[in-house]
Amino acid sequence: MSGECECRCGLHINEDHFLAEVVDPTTGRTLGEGEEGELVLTSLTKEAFPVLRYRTHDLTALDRGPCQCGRTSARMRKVRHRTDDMLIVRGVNVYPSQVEDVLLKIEGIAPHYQIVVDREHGMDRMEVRIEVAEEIFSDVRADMVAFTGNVSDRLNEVLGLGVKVTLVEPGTVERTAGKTRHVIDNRSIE
Amino acid sequence: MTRLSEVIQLSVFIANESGRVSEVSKALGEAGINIRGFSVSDTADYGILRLIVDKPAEAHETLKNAGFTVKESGVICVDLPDQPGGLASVLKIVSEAGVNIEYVYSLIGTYVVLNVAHLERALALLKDRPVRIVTQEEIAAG
Repeated sequence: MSGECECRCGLHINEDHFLAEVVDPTTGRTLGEGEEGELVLTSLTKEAFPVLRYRTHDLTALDRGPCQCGRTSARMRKVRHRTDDMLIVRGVNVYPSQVEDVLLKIEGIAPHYQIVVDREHGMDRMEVRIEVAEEIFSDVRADMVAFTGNVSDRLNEVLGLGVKVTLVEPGTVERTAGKTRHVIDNRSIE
Repeated sequence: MTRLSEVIQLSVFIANESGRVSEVSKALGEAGINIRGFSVSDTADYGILRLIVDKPAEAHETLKNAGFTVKESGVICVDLPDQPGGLASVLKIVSEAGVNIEYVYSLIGTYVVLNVAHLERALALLKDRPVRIVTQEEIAAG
């Protein structure tokens, strides 16, 4: 759909095949050049499966000005954020709500949790930290080990991803104005 | 419901950071609670601190208010003969009675805590054995 040129200043959109627009994610109003909004695509040449103003949930801005490389197609700024909570870890789409669902199904309660994503040696690593509320705490160590194992297995089933599950003390998971910060993404954007 | 010979043990979830156990003991100390014995069981990621105190209900409340996750469980406390072989003799009696011990740790003086698989059954099995079972009151009094 788009790709970087040697100037490395945005991705040239393949405008022969795609019509790109940027809209306000809340109102749907089409935005102008340079304004950041949700990327919406319409395919122009695709057969059998056309997309019409498809909302990508990616946040970007368009630049229609001339590029040093000589290409005249519009450029889009590299996508750094999405309009929803979704993360991509090792190529897998992960929604924090999926983690919440797994916890709910296992214990019937949703303890405070946090997803921490790091990149080690080029590999994405996802960790789910769960606050040990009274309902899930057991004096029997084997039960705790079984619990984390169970959560990890279920997450693996649901996401298709190997996830490390860590138990932490209540109140340790960051909260701002009472709302938990569910995702900490430590990966730098190169 | 606390049986006469059951002792209350508090288990506290401790994150693997320095000072957490110290925080617990500080909170208890400030609340005037006397720790009669404790044990820390740890993994790489976290630990479980087990406590026997003189006032378990108050201790539970204090720690809960301090933000800790606490669970209560019933354990058996026995008094050992203070001589070499004392522990061995008591453990022998307990295992011969058919009681399954999960873990043991020592308390102040000659007292020892046994966490068993089935508390009621264990108490029944030990009732007529030559083992001196200690009550919550005796532990509190020291």
